[in-house]
Amino acid sequence: MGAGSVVRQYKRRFHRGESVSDSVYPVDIKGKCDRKVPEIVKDFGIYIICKTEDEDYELLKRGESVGWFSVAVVEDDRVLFALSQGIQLEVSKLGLREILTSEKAELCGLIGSDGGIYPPHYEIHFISVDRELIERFHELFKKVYNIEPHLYSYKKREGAYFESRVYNRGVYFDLWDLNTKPGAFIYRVPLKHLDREGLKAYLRGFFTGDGNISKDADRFKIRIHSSCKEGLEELRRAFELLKFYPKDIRMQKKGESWWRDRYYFSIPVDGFIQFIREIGTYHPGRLERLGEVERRYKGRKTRDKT
Amino acid sequence: MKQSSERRINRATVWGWGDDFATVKINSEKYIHKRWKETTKECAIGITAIERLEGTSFDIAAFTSDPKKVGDLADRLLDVALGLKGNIKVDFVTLVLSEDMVSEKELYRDTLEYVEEEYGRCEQALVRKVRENPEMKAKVQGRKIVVFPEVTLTCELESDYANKVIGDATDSYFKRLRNFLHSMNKGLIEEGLAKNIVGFKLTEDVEKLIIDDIDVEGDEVYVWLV
Repeated sequence: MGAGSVVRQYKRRFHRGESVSDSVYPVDIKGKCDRKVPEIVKDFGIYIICKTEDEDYELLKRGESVGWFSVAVVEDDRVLFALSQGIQLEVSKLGLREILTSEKAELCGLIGSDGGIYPPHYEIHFISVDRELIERFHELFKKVYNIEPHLYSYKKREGAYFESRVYNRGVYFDLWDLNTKPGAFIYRVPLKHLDREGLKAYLRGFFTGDGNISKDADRFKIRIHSSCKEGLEELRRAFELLKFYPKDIRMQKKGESWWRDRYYFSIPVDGFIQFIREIGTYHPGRLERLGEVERRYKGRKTRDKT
Repeated sequence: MKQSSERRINRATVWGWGDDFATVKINSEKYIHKRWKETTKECAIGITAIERLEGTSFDIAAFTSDPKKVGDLADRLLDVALGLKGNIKVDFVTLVLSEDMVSEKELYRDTLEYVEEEYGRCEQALVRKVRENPEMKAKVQGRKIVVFPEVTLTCELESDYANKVIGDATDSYFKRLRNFLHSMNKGLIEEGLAKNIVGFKLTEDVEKLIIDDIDVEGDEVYVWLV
């Protein structure tokens, strides 16, 4: 037994009933005890995001720490944490989800339309007749993967084709995991990895490649063409998720076995302004035409419900 | 290369967008070396493509009975397609081997004048169809109707190098469609793949065409039919 009364011993050991004086603990322990209670940034039930004293964000699952992040984007219904290679961790009432940044979504859209990934040498490429699109592909690739693609050009009769190419195992498998190009001449839209901004960016990337704005007399028609029907169905679904009302997919039936079928769907006239505002394009020719469309249809009634 | 499982017809895609341009000839020759049999009468080399600024989709097919010409034909057809004006994307180059002279059945012999008259008749019939459509009645009443039907124009070309060359294009704006087919034919003739135009055929089906979209402005209604 120690010296003094039981009460005094108890108080000395467990500091009940008295404030802790500076002299009781060494400095480091005192520091820990003086830390503020973490500030709860968002509470999504199972998942809670707290801000620590060091200005970091801590992700808790059922009260247990599952991750620390230095940067977060806090929105009303979700919190986004930046991960590597253009991926963000989205935490919301629905749980956790890995989503693509706008840059990566647009990059995937470009690859879906005019690009490809090939396994033998882990090749990722993008082809275009427009130098501007190649530059956009380079810019996005650099932002997402911090890699500068190689540029090649081919002369073909009256013009030239440019090709942007990268050989990288890590990037190849990253895009493969997203199911961007599951086979030769086939693409898929990574719908489960796209939030609203991601959907818009993916569609912008795809439309920049395989979109078309025709001018029939002085009227316009916005169409998305593809020879991959499954991919086109997912593109159409993406437009629906953004509250567009795309027309049904049409097949341009060839009938002859030496030609392959092509498909397309169109955006109705009353969705043009919404298309300009939310999707757009980086294709110089189509951008110019979207300007014409805007001048013609501005002020017209739209079906925009956003 | 993907190959069809049909018995009498061997089909393969020898080139697709993204493949090296030089591989079309190599792949075609490899395929012919492997699949051309004594019973093979003809090979069709098909190009499936689109001009993406205006959305005109088009196809070219050349037929030959000489296996040695297949690689060269595929390469030159791809060259012609990629060299056409606009933003061209060639989706596929396909080879089809058959035990019949299929090109003999490919006959498109109408004159361009006849085709234009036929298109005019189609336009008038569609305007009537739109006007009589009960769902459109309120929108079209008292307004001028302008129709844009999606139609296909096919052209047969005579060739010294191949047995025959066929080109077709699909669009909803006839004037553009006609001009595009004209520049395609010009390209084929300049390349030496075709000698002259034999004739045309317009593929449209007034009964089957349905309203895809409409644009009402002032006293005019624009209707797209597909």
